Amino acid sequence: MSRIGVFVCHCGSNIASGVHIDKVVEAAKLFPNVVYCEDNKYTCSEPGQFKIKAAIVEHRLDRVVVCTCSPRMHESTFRKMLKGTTINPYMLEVANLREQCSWVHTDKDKATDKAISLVRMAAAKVNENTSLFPSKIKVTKRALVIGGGIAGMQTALDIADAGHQVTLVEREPSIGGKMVMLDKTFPTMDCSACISTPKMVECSSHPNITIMTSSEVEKVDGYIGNFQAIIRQKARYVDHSLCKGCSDCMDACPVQARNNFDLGLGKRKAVYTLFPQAVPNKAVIEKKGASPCKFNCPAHLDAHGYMALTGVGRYEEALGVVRRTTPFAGVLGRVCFHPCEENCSRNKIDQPLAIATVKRFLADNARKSGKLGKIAVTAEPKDQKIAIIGSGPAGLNCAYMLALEGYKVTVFEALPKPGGMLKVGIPDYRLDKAVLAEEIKLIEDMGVEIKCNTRIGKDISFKALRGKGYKAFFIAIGAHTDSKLNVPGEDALGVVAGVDFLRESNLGNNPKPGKRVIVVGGGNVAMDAARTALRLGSDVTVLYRRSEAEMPANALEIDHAREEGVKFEFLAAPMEIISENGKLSGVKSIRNRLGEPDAKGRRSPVPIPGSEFILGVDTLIKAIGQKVVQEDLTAAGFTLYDRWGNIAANAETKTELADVFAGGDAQTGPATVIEAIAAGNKAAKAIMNYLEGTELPIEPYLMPEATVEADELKNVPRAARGRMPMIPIQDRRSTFKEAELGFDEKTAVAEALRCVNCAVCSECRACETACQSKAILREQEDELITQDFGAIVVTTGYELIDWAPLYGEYGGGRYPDVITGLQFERLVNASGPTEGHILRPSDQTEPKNVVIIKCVGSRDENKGKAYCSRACCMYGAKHAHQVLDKIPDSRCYVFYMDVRTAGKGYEEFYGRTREDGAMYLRGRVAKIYQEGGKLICKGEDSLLGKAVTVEADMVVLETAMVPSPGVVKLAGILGISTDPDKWLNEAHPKLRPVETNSAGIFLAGTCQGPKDIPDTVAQAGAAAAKVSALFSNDELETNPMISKVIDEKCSGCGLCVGCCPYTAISLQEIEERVGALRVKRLVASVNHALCQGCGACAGACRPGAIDLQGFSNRQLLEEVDALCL
Amino acid sequence: MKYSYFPGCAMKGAGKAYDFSIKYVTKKIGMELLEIDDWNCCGATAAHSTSADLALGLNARTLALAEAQYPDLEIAVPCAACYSALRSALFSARSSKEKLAKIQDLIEMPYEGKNEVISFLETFSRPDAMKAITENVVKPLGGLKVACYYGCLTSRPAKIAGPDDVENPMQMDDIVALTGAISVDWAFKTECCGGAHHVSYQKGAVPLVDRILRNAQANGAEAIATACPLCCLNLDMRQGELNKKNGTDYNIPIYYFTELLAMSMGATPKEVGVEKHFFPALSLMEKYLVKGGSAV
Repeated sequence: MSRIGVFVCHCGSNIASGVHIDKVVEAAKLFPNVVYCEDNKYTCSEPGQFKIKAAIVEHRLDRVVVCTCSPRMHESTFRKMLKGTTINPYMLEVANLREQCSWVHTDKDKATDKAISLVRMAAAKVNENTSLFPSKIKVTKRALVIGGGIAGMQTALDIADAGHQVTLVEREPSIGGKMVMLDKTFPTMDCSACISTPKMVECSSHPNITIMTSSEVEKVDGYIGNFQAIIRQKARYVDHSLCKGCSDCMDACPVQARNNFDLGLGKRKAVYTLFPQAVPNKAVIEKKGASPCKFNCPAHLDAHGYMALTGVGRYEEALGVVRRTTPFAGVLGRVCFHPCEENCSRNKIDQPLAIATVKRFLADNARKSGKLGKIAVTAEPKDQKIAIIGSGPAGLNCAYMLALEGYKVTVFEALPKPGGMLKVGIPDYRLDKAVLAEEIKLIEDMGVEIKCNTRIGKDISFKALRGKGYKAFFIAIGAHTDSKLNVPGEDALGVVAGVDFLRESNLGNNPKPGKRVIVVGGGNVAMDAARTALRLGSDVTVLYRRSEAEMPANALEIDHAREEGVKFEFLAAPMEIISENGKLSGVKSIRNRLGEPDAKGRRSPVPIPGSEFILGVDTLIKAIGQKVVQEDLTAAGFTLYDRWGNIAANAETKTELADVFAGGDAQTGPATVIEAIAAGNKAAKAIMNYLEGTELPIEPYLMPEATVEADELKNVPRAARGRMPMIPIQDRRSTFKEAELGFDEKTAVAEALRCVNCAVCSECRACETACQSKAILREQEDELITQDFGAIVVTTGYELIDWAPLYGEYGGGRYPDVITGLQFERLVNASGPTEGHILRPSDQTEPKNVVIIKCVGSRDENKGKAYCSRACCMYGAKHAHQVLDKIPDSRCYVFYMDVRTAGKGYEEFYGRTREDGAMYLRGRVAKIYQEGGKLICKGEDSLLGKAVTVEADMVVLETAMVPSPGVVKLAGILGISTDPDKWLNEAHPKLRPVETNSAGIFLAGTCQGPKDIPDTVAQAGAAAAKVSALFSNDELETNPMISKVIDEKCSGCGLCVGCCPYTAISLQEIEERVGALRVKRLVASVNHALCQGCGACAGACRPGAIDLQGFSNRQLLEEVDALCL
Repeated sequence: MKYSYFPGCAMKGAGKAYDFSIKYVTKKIGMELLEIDDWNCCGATAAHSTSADLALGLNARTLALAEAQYPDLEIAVPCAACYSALRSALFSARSSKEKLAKIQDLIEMPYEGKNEVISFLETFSRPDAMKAITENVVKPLGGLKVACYYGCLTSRPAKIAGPDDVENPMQMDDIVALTGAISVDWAFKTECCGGAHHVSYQKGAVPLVDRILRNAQANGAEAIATACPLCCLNLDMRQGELNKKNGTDYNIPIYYFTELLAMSMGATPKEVGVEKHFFPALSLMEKYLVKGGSAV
């Protein structure tokens, strides 16, 4: 028989006022096995504990029920007390008569009944308790501090000074947090930087502290003394072991990015240090990915890079950026259909950047100033010879890339001039052929040999070339023959192919198409043919079978054609070519209507019966598509084609013959110049891989697309796209002079500066050139680091509330001179954007009348947060003091609800600010609006009961602190909780202010709630002391209230394995005797170190083989019986 | 684009220009407005300051008629005050079953609170309307700087009025931008014009008009666009008077936003009643129509 003692606590009047204690005592005395029962005013006090110990001896008790507050509060107190007695600390049950009884009920009699039931249950349970003994686990004496602000730094230093290792993880590229952004600190007006930067230096030089900046905690496993954390070291694109912090890269960087450290008041470069005193003082690059212009370019030209360099007047470098991918800056700048521009983020607010035209400017400008130069080949010369068939953009670009690598390249061209479709397809009015010739010469000057009038299959063959020592071949012969109309009479004299017509014209053979020309087709070749015929004096009509919306030609080309006088017949298709004496005389056509969309989503034309009509015509140009000329290659012994008649090659340009590669129009069918260039570059890489036996990537290095949402651009000033100047319209109609004139320097620079820097880093790679330490790592990736820790301190700090969407009446962010307190700190800070001069962001003038509004977003349940943000009253007073101190003849009005100055020297500081002349007005501001350069603040002076209007030059909003973004995610990772406002919860507001409810995880600073610097530093010291106390043990006692498996009952089903959140259960083999046999089978087994005692397995176990010690099935059933029977 | 239509009393009197221009524009863009048969006055300020039930009953009756006549259509309202009154009644009807039963008793008609009440700014800023407007603009008012004045009742109280921003609504700005005019950023879009106080308490109401005009002028507006006959009347009527009395130099013609739409679609100013305003509004329009028209 057990001997139970029951001790009922009054808890002062907390329990006694809601429960009849005497009745509980009387009832308890009658419970089974209860041999002693008494009540006590404060059971947790020393005399209270002494009385229990005395009763244990006197009444030979072997187990105890304490009826007090929640076990969360004092269970551990009474367990510790029992350590000094004959009773095992786990022979204890706590009946919660306070939180779950007296505090929550108003009817004392009913509460007493409930209290008696609670005690009866506890007594029944304790009767089944068994002695439990904790085991020991080792402690890893390394602390993880998350957040490198003043709280994190102080915690890290205090733990490190106690002799333990600390890893300090910071999301930003430098430690320092918010405190280093501040100018002075109240009430002493210490310089904030002067007291916080030495802490930063101390952290970085402390032998026990490892700083990890640009890092975030990704995952945490384990438990007190034995955490395992995975930390993501984000890519910084700079090797910090090589970076000297010299700032050469920053001087070289052309990108002006938002300076987040100055809260958008200033600019910084894409490669930067957070601020001049940053720790570590090493550069990082902000890269959000590949800018849309680059990402969507088939050749992934660094468009953002050369735009950025152009914007700062560095044209030669910009041209160099283009030439990393292609020598054809002038050509592409004129003829490219620029998918970059279609994807430009400025489309979301006004018009895209004229990227192609800026590229044209770079080439034209270099030519004009004689700086076209030569392209240097720096690679070692290589012996291998490569043959390229076709000198179009694909072939020549492949030759260019291979020549850059030092290979010997010969290009064979069937026509008398090199350039392929660039030369014979594109008319002169779109591309001045002198530009093409000069850019081809750049390639020749690199050592590439171009042999014209040399046709594959006729003049040369693969076999012969192999014999001459050519090791690899790239076929890029383009698509130079036309698709057939497939209508009767197509062979009549006067019916010509668009490509043939253009070739004749471009080679200077002056075709004479006659007066009436009809062009059939709606693509770019059709437009080129139409506009060429027009210039040759013809009257031109384009016949297209769908409507204008379906035309595949570039919209600008269509507009230009129309401007010049080309006529269009939409929804019409030729049915029959009419000829007289074999000579074309007319074309019979039929009207169409649009039917259902086809596989590509284009609506198909459907002929309208009976709508036939005849047009008279002298020349009919068919431009409905091009095909590859197969005969020459077949003659040369190459016969691999796909079902469209294009050369069969894979995405990497490889054909089935190991040494033969193919790309461009010949492989894809008719496409664009930039796609041909992309194919040429890919082929060059593929050929190099083939020759060298390497497996380098075929595509250029490319990060995921960096997209910018329209919302993020709402404050970008609108600026119209640069206008393209053109030659007079009459010249366009009659001559082949280039129609578009290109940008002058001023327009090009203005255009480049319209760039919104989607990816921030432009990948111009100017920093790579500038860095003498070779520290730039362009292709760096994030790294995951796993480390063990014994304790974790969270010091993630705060952010200011985003007031703009909440306070439309203050302009909602539309007025630049309405700023936050933190922005004011940057303005008044000597290292800030104005070097400490208080100037209005709008016009950089000194404000004379400054209005400060307190409680913006705080103490305002309807709009922001209900809580008081605590530090604002004081820094508001400080800001008022600074305005009055720094600006002569200034006036400062402070709108307030209350002035709260609890702190040493705080009230005195506030008093001095008022003596300085700050005018405190009690009331909120209802509206701020701009009128005549002033910010009119309409408010109320509630002490006078009058409406007041202040004409301010600047308004400072003292906004509420809110938890740092991402804290909810971090709380989830750590398994700690937040309050409804997302501040991290401490374990107890008074007794455990720096602990969380998860053992071994601590808090300090503003992650727990708004507070000022002194309180933050005090908490940091407290958290460090807690960690040091933990680390003073080599081993920790584990909680013995964990799961236990009864092997005999376990069926080995494994259900518990899956439901354990701590992966503490596994199936292990045991050997048992069954009759005379020894058999092996699997049973569940609990890892004592990992088990947290949650009991999920016990609930899941069907045979009842798992018991949670301290909460065994038997104990729980006894409780239920005690309550119900 | 089909709505049941509550024109409101002002449309028959002070709001002629509004009425003409609405008819012109809706015809152009193919918006059908089906006038509710036997509608009655919303009660304006007079009703709700006399008796809450009177205001509720007057508006619920109109809503009940609309529900019976056009059960599938939203109710479009051109006047800010009517809009507010009708929406308040709708809000009441939807607030609880008891309230709805009370309303049914009050008007002695079946009514379920089904049909949405929307302002003209809403009807015109829906994508199909915006598209149709764009397609019909033939004489853009290139460069005319307009301050869009919404008045208080199209956006307040927020839970009744919705759906645009209370402090800086943009619906009218977006519509007006389609005409080629430039909407200026200003601060008095939703401040009160004085409403009916211009009749009963001029001393208090006139300064309200003054500050609206002052802010519009300070922000470079050449004209103000409105979406309410009473707002339009108040701003229009007091302008000359203020200039005379205070020596101000306001020269800001007041238009209905539909007038601007109509004229950009080719209406002559007289066709939509531009000459009917108190403050001369014709010459500015003629100036811009010549300027803008040349671009076509």
